[in-house]
Amino acid sequence: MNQDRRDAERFNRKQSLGFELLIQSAESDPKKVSGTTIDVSQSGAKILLPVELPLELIVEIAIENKEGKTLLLIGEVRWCRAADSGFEAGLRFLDTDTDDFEHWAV
Amino acid sequence: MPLTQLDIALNQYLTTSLSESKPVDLRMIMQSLFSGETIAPELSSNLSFIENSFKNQSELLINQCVTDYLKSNMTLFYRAFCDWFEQCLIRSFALNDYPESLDMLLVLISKIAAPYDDFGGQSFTKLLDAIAQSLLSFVDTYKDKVLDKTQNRNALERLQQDIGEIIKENQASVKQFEQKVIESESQRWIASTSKQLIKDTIYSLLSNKRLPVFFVAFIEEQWTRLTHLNILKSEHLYNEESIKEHPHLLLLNQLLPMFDISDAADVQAVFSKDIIPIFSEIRNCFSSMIVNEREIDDFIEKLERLFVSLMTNNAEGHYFEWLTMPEFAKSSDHDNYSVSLSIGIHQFKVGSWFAYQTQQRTINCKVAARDQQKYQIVLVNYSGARVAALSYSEVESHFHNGLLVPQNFSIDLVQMVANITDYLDKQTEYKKAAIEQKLQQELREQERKQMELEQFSHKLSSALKLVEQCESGAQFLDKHNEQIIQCMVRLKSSGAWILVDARGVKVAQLLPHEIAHKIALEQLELVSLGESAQARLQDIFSQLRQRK
Repeated sequence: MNQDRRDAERFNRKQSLGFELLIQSAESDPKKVSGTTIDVSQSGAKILLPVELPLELIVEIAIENKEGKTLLLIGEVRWCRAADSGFEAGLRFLDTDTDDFEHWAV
Repeated sequence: MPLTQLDIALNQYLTTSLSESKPVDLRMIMQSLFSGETIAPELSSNLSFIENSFKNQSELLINQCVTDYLKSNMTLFYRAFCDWFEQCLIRSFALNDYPESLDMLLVLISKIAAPYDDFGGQSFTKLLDAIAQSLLSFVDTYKDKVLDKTQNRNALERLQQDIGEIIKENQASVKQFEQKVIESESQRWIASTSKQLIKDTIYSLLSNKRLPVFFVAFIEEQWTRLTHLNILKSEHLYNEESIKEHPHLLLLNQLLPMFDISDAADVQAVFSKDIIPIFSEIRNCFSSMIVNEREIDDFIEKLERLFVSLMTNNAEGHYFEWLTMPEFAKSSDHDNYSVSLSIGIHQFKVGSWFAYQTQQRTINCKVAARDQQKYQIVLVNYSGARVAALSYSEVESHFHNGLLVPQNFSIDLVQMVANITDYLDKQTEYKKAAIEQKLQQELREQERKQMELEQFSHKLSSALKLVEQCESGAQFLDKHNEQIIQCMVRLKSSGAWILVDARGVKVAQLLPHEIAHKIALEQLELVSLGESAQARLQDIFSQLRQRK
């Protein structure tokens, strides 16, 4: 079992956290979408939101960590499918030099 | 040795062509090939080039030895000649030994085939076929066989003997034919010229003589005809001088002075002693010929009556009509066989070849006989069949009008080989120049690539500097997909940029040097460094954070 896996397991996987998701597009103004997490881990999250997201879309997420602090994470849409109350999507968080990813798993 | 010159030129040409990258010992390759050794793979790929070169040079030489007409009409002979020489050339090249018999065979076969035309006859075709079979048999026997110098020489000498025998046999049969033609021409000539010769001689004897008309009529018809027949039967060949000694004409000459005697006593004096014996001589002369005896009897009877009446002063003699023969003038036809050749008789020696143009066709023919007595030349084709028999005046006229053109079928092997070596030398020079040019081109290409590499390296370094300045939002023109893409975020772990399209969808994940490489390759073009976009993004997130 590697370190990432162990870190990920420290999370309560079935957390329902609210978040704001920002879709940046050069074609139009940045679009903000609200949603909730269904399942989270250190490396990603399964989310529920009202719009369909294209695969490999890079999104910014403003989300609270377990300490209640709002963090900015960058994620890549790995999958997206229709659900009963909107769309479910899988996000993989990216560890970039402009986000708060380092605080997410703490 | 002309073929050694060909060897040198061929060796230079092939060596130059094959040694673009590294020198080769071609003779060694050929020796290995003949001894069945395996040759280096890089050289075996050149084998077809080597074989083709030998084939081409062989054909070039043989094409000079034979006419185009023979090439297209005696294809078996032509191919056999080419294949045989190609095999000999390759083997001699490998052994570095050119036996004299090879030169001699080449010249002999070429010379034999040179007069080939449509009119050479079956014997000629058979001769060429037999030579072709002999050459093919040689090729088959020694194909793929390892021969040393001595064995090679022996094989060629045997072939020389074989072909010599074939030619000898052919010439013997042709000679028989020729002899028949010459004999037949001789008879024909005698038939056509002797009658005129007799007539002329008889008229020269009768010239200015006063003679009885019946006598002149008999001489003109019967005497001339019978003398002609006698000459045709005779084996003796008469000319202007010897014809006068012919018994019939001697007899006539004896008889003629008798008509000059007008005095009865003089006639009486010779009648029994001279005239009567002449009558029996006349009978004897013509007894061997198939003649109407009544005509002879009638003639002799008339002569008797004439001389008797002259002798007895009988008036009957005066009843015979007399005429004075005109002065003899030589007929113009006679010139046909009395001229000598002013163009030089040596040109028409027996065995010499001419192209004879007759009835809109040109025939290669040779002088089978030149008869100085008949002033006639007999021309035959290659097989010994008659082409023409020409009088000297016809020969002279045809010669001047270009209808009879001397042919020189001798083969100048030195010149032929020189033509090929000149060609090969030029090809070698051309190859050398081409190799030099190729080397120069490669050098220039290397320099160009080096320059391009330097330019690229410079471009890459400049591009890398620019990429290092890029911030989130930096935009590039993706030339391949013709769209603007931008740096969205940079991964902390690897330093790679996530590049997204206008919708924000990831299109690539590239390290800075990879982006720089694409810029240097002109696949990407930097549009903006993205500072303003970054600043805008920072603003947005600041707002987001604050609102949360």
